[in-house]
Amino acid sequence: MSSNAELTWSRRLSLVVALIAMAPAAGAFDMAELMALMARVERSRVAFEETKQVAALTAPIVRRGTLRYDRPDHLEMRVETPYFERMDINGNALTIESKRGIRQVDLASAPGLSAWVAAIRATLAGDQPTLARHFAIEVGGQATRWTLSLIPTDPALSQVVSRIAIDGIEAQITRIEVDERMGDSTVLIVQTGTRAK
Amino acid sequence: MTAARYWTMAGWVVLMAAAGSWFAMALKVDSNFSAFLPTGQSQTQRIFSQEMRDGVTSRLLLIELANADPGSLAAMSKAMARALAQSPEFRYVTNGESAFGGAELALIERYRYQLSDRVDAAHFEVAQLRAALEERLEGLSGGGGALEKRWLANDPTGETLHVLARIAPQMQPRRFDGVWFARDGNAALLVAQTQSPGWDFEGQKRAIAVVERAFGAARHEGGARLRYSSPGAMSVASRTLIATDATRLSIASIVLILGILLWVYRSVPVVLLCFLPAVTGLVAGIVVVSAWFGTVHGITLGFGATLLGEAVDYPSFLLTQLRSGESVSEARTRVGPTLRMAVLTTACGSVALLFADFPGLAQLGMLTMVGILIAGAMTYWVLPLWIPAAMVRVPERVKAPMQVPSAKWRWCAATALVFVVAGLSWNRPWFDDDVASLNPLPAALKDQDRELRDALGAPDVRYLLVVNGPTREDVLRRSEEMRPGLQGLVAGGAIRGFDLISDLLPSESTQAIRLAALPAGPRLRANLDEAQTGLPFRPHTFDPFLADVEAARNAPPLSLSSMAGTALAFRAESLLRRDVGVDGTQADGWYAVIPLRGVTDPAAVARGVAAMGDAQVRWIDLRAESSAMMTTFRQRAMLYSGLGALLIFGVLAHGLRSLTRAVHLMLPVLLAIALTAGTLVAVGSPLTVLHLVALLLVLGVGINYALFIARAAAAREDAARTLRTLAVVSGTTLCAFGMLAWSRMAVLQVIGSTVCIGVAFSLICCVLLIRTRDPA
Repeated sequence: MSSNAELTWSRRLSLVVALIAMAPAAGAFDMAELMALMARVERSRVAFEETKQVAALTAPIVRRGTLRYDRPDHLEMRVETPYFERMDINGNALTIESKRGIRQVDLASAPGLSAWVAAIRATLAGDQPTLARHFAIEVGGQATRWTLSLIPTDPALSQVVSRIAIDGIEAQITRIEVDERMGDSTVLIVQTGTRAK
Repeated sequence: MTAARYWTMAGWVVLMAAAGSWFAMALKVDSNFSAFLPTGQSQTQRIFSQEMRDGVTSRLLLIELANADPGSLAAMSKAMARALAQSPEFRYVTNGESAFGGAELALIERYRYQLSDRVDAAHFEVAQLRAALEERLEGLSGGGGALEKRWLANDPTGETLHVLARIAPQMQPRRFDGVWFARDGNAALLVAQTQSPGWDFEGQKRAIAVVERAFGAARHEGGARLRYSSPGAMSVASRTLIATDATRLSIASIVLILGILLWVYRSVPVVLLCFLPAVTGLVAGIVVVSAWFGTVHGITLGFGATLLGEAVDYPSFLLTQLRSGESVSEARTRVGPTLRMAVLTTACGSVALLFADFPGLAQLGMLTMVGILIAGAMTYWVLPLWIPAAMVRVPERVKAPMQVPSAKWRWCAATALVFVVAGLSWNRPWFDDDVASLNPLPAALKDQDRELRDALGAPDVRYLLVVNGPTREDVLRRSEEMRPGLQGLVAGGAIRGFDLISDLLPSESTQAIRLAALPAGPRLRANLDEAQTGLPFRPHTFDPFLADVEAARNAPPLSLSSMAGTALAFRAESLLRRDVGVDGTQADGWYAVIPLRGVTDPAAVARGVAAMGDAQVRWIDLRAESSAMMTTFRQRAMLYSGLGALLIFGVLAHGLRSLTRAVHLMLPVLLAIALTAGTLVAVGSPLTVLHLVALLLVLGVGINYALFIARAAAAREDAARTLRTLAVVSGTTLCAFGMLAWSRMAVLQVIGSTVCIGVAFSLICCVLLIRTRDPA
């Protein structure tokens, strides 16, 4: 009996698995869904830890600070340690503030930089056209745990960056990895306990 | 009589055929509009003229793409930049994708220790190296990390970026999608430098054809619009305009003149014969001008129409005086002396133009003089042979239209006229010495050029410093010594920036001092090792740096030839130039041009330059300079006009055998000229050199009228016939010059309108003031 019941269970399970396996055309998590998910976030503020692997250095550089986003186009990255730095992006105006002074850059005048900004800001904004203008896009996983892979098509950025990978859970970005052509990489991990609002 | 007729006809046909075949083989039409700009006498003026003629700015082509969405405009801009870069017609092209491309960056990197003003012995000691490494470390961790890495291993002291920041163009248009856009974001902008200088018409035409083709290929949808501007493009456009205007206006005036003459003579052969002297004169004039100057300017050719208008008068002076039953030869005997004087005085008027400082005006003078003399000779000697008396049936019904009022009334009218014009022109500027108003280009083209320059943040340079020296090295050294003073001016807010040639190409002595300051390999390695202690840089990271410094210690200095083929070479070429002597040949000297940007306090700049204490440094306000130049030329033109008037007076006094009669003839015409000038001033067009030229023509035409009126006064029975003569000749002149006034070319338009006003005043003054009864 019991073995029969088990069989039935295993049969049922295999049926479910088979159904799931057959379902992707209808239920796969795609770019449109991810973008719709992200587009619901009005603003967010998270703490991060960023680890840079630089070939020329014996040890990685670890920086901590906060990331802040306000719909539609305000992004602020504030680094507290080891050196204070604040990058404020509002529309096309990028302001870099460090102890060496304040620098203003017009993003429209710096294609590489604007593609880099687009990777994060357009993802947060759920702005698929902007992403598509700068990157070849691939989405993996489900809404509960997704990975967005961005391969730069922008010539200026692709000279330096080979790939940007963004991981997330629902409308929350958890990890951003930037791989550079020369082998260096930067991994930014969003600290747990800080959430999108 | 008939034999003479056939022989002259055969001779004329042979000469014309010869001239025609010579045109076909040797006639070169020049459209360089700087022929209508004066050649300078002082060095400053020569620099100005040289920059206008073949300076790098004369090769710059500004391109604007508009009327599509920004994304496709940017794509078109990129496609066009690629196409133009591949064309041999262009030296370089940029649309902002990168202000300095790979070749330029590589050059700066390679010569960074020769170029950087920070290089001295202390720069590579432990303290400064340590500071530089700490700065790199902080940079690596920060937002610009990727940029830092590009230079980290071989340039940890950051010389390449330092040099780049100093010589990169500081004012740039905004960008969209990486390429330049106009401020309002509605137009993409490109700048290209043509291979051929601006005056090379054929080369510019080829370059423009390449632009048009590239645009045609880059344009995906139909709506986009292309505009471009450059001295060369404007010269191509102006030649097209000259050609179309000259053709259109000549045809229109010929039709009008034909109409008038047909109405008067009622005979097609006679009317055609009337044109013969003018056509012959024009052909002869062009032959002489191109033989003397090598080329004929397009505007000179356009002026042929005016010559036609004047020369067509001579047969009219003769034929409209015919009495019934009189042969043309008989009329010639009667009218001959007056006709001779009319031709000679007009020719004398144009002699003055021969001495003008513009090649273009000298050509006009020669064309007019030769044309008038030939047309006059043809009218005097040939027409009487060719026109049988029976052919001309001038209607005798012309009567004096009204009773000529008494002398008192006529003087009152003349005085009133003088007062009205004087009152209207009172307190208005009489002279316009802006060189721009001489520019023969139509206003629309000039406006477009200014718009594109504004959009590119490349406004016309007005303030320059010029440094002279016997050698290139000397000029570069002087330019280096000026840097602190110039920086002081920037700090003080008098100017916003400057382009100094020695930042781009330091003097050889300075480069040698910098290279000598580079430490030897072992010493630099020791300093670097010490500076690196405690920093997380991997060992051997900076080995490329050590190798580069070692290589630089034995490297040759940066020279103009090592820059060849890069945008930097073109920059250097425009800032460091060979002096050109008065005769246009290369002199021994060199000079550096230092354009000043954003000059807010010219007086402070002048003081700062004086404080530099270098007598070879001169401060030039191009606008003031060109105005001063124009004032000089205008004064000389007035002098020449005065001489022309004196010559005319001499011819009159000789021909009339009386000084008093010559004065009586000339005074009304001179009054007409004063009234014409006053009217022009009153309607708000101050006098330029061109107006003076036109007034000189008026003098010639006016004297003709005066001569015939005086002749009629002497022989009373001819009064009605003379009135008819004046009606015909002034009618044809007004038609020819009136047409010219419609031209889009400023030169032709000014001459046309001035002559028309002048002819009207000449008629009025002569009729009012020349005594109807000769005292003798």
